[in-house]
Amino acid sequence: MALGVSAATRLLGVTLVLYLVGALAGLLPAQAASNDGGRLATRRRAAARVSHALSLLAAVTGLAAAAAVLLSPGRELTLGLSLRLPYSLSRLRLDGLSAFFLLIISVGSLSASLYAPSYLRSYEGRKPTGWLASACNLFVLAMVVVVTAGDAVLFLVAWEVMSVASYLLVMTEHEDPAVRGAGFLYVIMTHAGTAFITAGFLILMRAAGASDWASFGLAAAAMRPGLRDLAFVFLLVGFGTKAGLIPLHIWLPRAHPAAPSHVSALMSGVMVKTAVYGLLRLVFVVLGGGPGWWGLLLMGLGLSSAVLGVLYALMESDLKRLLAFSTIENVGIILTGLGAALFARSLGLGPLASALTAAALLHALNHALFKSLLFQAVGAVHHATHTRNLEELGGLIHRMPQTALLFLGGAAAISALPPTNGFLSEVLTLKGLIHLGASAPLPAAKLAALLAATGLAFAGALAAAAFVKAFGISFLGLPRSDRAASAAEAPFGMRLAMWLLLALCLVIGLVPGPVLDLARSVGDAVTGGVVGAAGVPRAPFVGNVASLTPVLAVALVLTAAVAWWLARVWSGGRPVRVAEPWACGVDLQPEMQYSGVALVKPLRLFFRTLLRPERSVTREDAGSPYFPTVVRYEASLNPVYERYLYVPLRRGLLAASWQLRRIQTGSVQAYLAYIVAALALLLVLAR
Amino acid sequence: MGTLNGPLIQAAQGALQALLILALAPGLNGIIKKFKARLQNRVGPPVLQPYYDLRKYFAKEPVVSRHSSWILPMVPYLALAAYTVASAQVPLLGSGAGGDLLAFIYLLALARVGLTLGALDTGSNFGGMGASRELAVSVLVEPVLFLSLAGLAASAGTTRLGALAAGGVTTGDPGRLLGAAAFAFVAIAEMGRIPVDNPDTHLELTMIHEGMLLEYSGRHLALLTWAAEVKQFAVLAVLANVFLGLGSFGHGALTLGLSIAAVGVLGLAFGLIEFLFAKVRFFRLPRLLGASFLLAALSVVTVLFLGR
Repeated sequence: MALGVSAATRLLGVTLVLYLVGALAGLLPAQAASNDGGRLATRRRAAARVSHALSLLAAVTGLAAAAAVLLSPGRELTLGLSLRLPYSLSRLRLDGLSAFFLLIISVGSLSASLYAPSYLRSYEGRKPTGWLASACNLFVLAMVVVVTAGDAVLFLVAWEVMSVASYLLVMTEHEDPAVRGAGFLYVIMTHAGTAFITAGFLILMRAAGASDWASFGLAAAAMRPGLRDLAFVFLLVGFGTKAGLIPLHIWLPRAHPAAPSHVSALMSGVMVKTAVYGLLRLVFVVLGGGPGWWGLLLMGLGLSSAVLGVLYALMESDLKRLLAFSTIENVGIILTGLGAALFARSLGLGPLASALTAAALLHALNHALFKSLLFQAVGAVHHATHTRNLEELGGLIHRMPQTALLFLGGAAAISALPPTNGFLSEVLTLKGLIHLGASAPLPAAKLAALLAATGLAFAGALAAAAFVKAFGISFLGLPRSDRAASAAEAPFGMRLAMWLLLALCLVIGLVPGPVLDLARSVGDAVTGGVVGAAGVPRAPFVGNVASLTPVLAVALVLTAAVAWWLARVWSGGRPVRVAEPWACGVDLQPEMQYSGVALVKPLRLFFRTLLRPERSVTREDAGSPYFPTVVRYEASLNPVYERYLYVPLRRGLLAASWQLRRIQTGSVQAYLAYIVAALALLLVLAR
Repeated sequence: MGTLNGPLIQAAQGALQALLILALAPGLNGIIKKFKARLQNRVGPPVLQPYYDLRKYFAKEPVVSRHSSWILPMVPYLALAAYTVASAQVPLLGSGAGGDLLAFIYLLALARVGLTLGALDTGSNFGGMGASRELAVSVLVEPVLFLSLAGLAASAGTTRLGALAAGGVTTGDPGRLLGAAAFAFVAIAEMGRIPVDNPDTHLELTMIHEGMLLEYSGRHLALLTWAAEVKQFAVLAVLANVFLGLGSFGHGALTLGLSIAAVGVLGLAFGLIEFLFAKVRFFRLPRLLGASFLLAALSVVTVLFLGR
C-alpha cells in the first residue's frame, strides 16, 4: 500500500474520531424528551442509522490503517494527542501485532454496521435503538484503543470501557431476569479478571518504574524468575477470564447470547480476541516467553477448553448458546497453538514457535469471520421466527434459502472442512503440533505435543457433529412449530453483511497466500523477530499448506463435475421424481423426526462421566397408565466445574462475608478507627 | 525434477490412483462378499455383482422426498468427490506418491458431514437414526485415526503419507504393528463392517451407514454405493501401504501390484472377522474404540521411545 506513515497515522486518528462521533450521534435523541412518541421514534431511528454509518466509515479507515502497517513489515505508527495527561495516556502505537488485531476488529465492526440497521428494526418502539448504536460504537472504540495502547494504564482504562460498554449491550433485554443474572455474572467475572490483569501490571510496573510496554519489556528481562512466573500466572488468569478459558468461562455462554445478535457476533468473534492480543503482547512480547511449563500450562488449559467447550456446545439446544460454547472451543484451539508456540520457544525452536503463533493468529482471524457469520445467521433466524430453540425450528432452508446457505458456509468453515479457511488454520495448528512432536528433544514432550494434536482432532470431530446438529435440525426436515413454518427470508442489509463474511471465509480458504504471509510476519515479530531474517529459515510446512486448500478445492470441484456429467450420461438423464417419504405407512409428522436432543443422545451417553446428564420423565394420564395424555421430558447437564469449583467458592465467600459482619458494627466511630489503623499500617509498611 | 514438473507429476499420479481405485473398489467388495458367502456354505453372488448393481442403480429413476431441499441430491456428488480425492492421497503407487494425511482425514470428515446432513434432509426418522449413530461413531474413531497416523508422522518429521510409507516393510517393528492394530479398528468403523456396523442389513435396530442411504435411489444411490466402496479401498490401502510398509518400494508396477494384492488380502481378513464375530451392541462401542485408542497411544509411545 502506497500510504505514507503520516497518512496512515492520520487514518488511525480519523478511525477513533469517527467511532467517538458515532457514539455521540446515537445519544442525540435523548435530548428530545418530548411526549411526541412518533417523532421520537423517527429521530431515534435516524440517530441509529447515522451512528452505524459512522462506524461503517470508521471500520473502513481502520482497515486501511491496519493494512498500511501490515503490508510493510517492521513499520510502526505512533499517534499522540497534544494533551498533558499522566503516564502515556494520550499515546497510541500501531505495530504489526496491533495492526493484525485492528484488522480483526475492523472486519467485525464492518459487518456489524451493515447488519445492525435492518436487525434493530425489530427493537424499534421497544428499545432506544440510538443508544444501542451508541454503546456499540463505544464498545468498538474501546477495543481499538485496547489493541493500540502503548501503555498499561491506557490499556486498563480502555479494557474497562470495553467491559462496561459490552455490559450495557448485554443488558438490552433487562426485563428478563435471566438476562439480568447473566449481566451480573458478567460484571463480576470481568472485574475479577481485570483485577488479576492489574495485579500482573503492578508487578511489572514496580520493576520498571514506568508503564509503557517498552519499559515493561526491559524490566521483565531483569526480573527475578519467581516474580516473572507470578506475573505470568496473574496475566493468564486475567486474560483467560475474558477469553472464556475453562473453568473461567461461566459468564460467556450466558452473556454472549443475551446481547442483540450483531453484538453477540462482536463479543464472541472479536472481543475474546482482545484477550488473545493481551496474552501475545504481554507474555510473548513484554515477558519474552518463559520456561517450558508456561507453554505446557497454556496448552493444557487451551486443550481442556477446546474439548469441554465443544462437548457442551454439542449438547446445547439454544442456538446462540451453542455458538457461545463453540467460541470457548475455538479460543481453546487458539490458546493451544499459542501454548505450543511458547513451549517451542522455550526449547529454542524459533521457526516452529513462529509458525505456531501464525497458526493461532490465523485462527483468531478466521474465527472472527465465521463466528460473526454464524451469530448473524442465527440472528436472522431469530428475527424471522422469534425463537432460538432448535427443537422449535426445522425446514428453514425452504423459507430462508440464502440464510441457510450462509449458515451452512459458516458451519463448514467452523467444522474445518476442506477447502474453507477454518480447515486452513486447523491444519496449520495440527501440523505445527506434529512437527513439535518430531523435533522436541524429550520423548515426554513429543508425546504431549501429539496428544494435544489428537485432542484438537477429537474436538474437531465433535465440532463437526455440533454443527451438523445446528444446521440439520434447524434448517432441514419439517418445521417443528408454526413459527418455523411461517418464517421469511432476512432483509437485504443483514444478508449483505453475511455474504461479505462468507466471501472473506472463502477467499482466505481458496487464496491463502496473502493472509498467511501477514500472519507469518506478525508471528516472526512476536516470537523474537529472528525468524524470517537472514540466516534463520521459516518452518517449511507453512508454505506447503498455502497450496493445499486451492489444490483440494480444484480437485473436489472437478471430480464432482465429472461425476455429475457421467451420472447424467449413464442414467440417460432420467428426471428426478418427487414423492412422499416412507414413514412405515403413516403420514410423516414433524414430531416423528429426530430432535436435536435425540440426535446427540449416543454421545451424551458415551461421555456421561464428563457431562453428568440428568433427565426426568413425568407422565399424566386419564385413568390408565398405558395411555398417557401428557409426557414431559426434561434433560439437563451438571457441569463439573460448577460442582467442584464455583459452588465451594460461593459457599466460602458467603461464609467469609458472614464472619466479616462481626466488624461491621455500623457505628461511625468504629469505622473512623479502622481508617486510622489502616493508614498507620500503610505508613509503617510503605516507608 | 523441475519446480513446475513436481506438482504436475504429483497431480497426474493422484489422478491415476483415484481412477484405479474407482475402477477396482466395487471388485474388492465383490470378492469380500463371495468369500463371506463361501464361508457360510452359500454360493453367493458373482464377484462382479457390485458392478452389475451400479449399472442397475444408474438406470433406475431417482426419487427424492417431498420435504427435501437441494442438499439431498447434492450429497452423492460431494461424497464421491471427497472420497475420490481422499483416495488420491493414499501412496498406492509407492512412497513417492500420495498426499497429506491431514487432507485425507478431513476429506473423510467432509463426506461424513455431507452424508449426515443428507440423512436429516428428508425429514424421515430413519435418516436421523443413521446420522445420530454415524456422528457418535465418528467422534470415537477420530482420535484413533489421528493419533495412529500422527505418531508415524512425528517420527518421520513430515505429514506426507508417502513418506510415512517409506519406513520399510514391517518386520517386527513393534510401533508400526501396534499402529496397524489400532488402525484396523478405524478401518472396520470406516468400512461400516461388523462388529461396528453391518453392511448387509437395513434393520433399523442395527444399521448406521445404510440408515443414511435409505432415502436415496437411482443414480444417487449408485454414486453413494460407489463412494462407500472407494472409501473402503482407500482405508485398506492406508493400512497396507502406510502401516504394513508395502508402499515403500518407490515407484513401479511391483509396488502397485503388491499394494492391490495386499488390499485384497486385507479385505478377505476383514471378511473373516465379519464371519467369526457378531455385531457389538452400539453402546458398547466406546469400549472397543477406547481399546483401539490405547493401542494407538502405545504405538506412539513405542515409536517415540524406541525409534523406528
